[in-house]
Amino acid sequence: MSNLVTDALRGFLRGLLNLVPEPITDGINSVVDFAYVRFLGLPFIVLGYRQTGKTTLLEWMHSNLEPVDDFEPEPTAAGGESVRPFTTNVGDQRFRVKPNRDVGGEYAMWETDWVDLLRDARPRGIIFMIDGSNPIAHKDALNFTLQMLDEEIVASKNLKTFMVLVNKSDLWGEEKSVDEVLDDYRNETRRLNHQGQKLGYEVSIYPTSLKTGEGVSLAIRQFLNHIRPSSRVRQNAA
Amino acid sequence: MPQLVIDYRLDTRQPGYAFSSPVNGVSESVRKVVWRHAMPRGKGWGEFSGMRSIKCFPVSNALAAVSTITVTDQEDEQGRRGIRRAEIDLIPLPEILNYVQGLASALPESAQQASAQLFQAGVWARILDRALPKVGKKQPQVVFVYPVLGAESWQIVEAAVLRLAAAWPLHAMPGWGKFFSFTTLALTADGESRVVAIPESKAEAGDNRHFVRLPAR
Repeated sequence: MSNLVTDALRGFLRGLLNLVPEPITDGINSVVDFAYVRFLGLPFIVLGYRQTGKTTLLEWMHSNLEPVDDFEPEPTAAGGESVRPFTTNVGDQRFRVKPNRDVGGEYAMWETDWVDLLRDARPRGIIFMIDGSNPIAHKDALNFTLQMLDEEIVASKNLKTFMVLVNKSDLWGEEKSVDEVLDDYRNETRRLNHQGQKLGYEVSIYPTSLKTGEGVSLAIRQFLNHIRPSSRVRQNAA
Repeated sequence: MPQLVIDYRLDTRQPGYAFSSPVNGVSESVRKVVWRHAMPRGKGWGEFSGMRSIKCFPVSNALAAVSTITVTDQEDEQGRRGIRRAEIDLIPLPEILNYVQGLASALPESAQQASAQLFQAGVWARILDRALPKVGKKQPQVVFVYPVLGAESWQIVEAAVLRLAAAWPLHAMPGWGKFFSFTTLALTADGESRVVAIPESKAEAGDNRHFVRLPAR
């Protein structure tokens, strides 16, 4: 019942907005964008199988994408770790981000911590991390995530982008290209693209190395610009 | 009720943290709450190998969980440390205070005596001030800070937290009730129990207002 009322209200507001001249709606969008990017924080989550670099990626973002040589990650325990919203500088852009929680990647975490995280965060973006090893486990994790998005309709409603980071390019980059790594994931990328069209989110894939820093800035800048509310600012930034 | 164990295993097809004990007889909802809350929060556990933490939290209207966590010296395939093991007992809620008192009295006499000396008038005043509900603030939390000198010396803090959990003053405070969650060792207060103790090295500098610093013994 409350959903019906909310939908009706939303439709009414949308109708009202159509009556407002474009410069004013642009102004409103810019204010909402400013509020998210500077104060509220852009909600996103980081998922992926164990040992792919989820905790290290969050640490990178915390350190304004500077290398974190002395950082010693430890396996994230059951329940995950809460992460307070923080501001990160990506090149000349400042973003307030809200990753909500850092969760572990082993099988036992999926049904519990991943589902809870998705429900709690209602993210605008998902960073999904894989690497060049153990494709079976990464595929299981990715398929679980896609299934979860299909099932958790309310929690995935705000999703604007799904970025796959093929991390640890320092380990696989000399032997194969990112396309060769992704050969193992043909069915999954097809499913991802199909779901993206259905749910209305964009899909992107970037090779990165959190050890050397290769590709990280570009990927994170693209990601954060995709999940910010104002599409106009987004397009200009891209 | 059976004891649950969360362990980090490398010898299985699905390595990593998982329940290593049988979970028969424990409902899925209880299991999920236990999974989410059994481990103390924070990062950097590798420095605290050999230490113990006791975490107590409600799992349903009828049950509480007491999780005894050990920081192991285990490493994973990549050499990552800070791996913990949790043994969780499920206790009927009406029995939990007796259980907590039992845990406190099982500690060495010296730790119990030293902890009793920590509760001077000034410390009580700070505890009660932190425990009072504040307008517009989230649920009050009492965060003890104490230097880590080793597993044995931390037993003083353990005794202090258990003593506070079983004593009447907090239970009489508005919003605290007959039972509240507590953790005897975590590395952050974020997302932690109503009463929690953290090492001095992990307390944020300049954030003194939020902490109750216990005098070192």
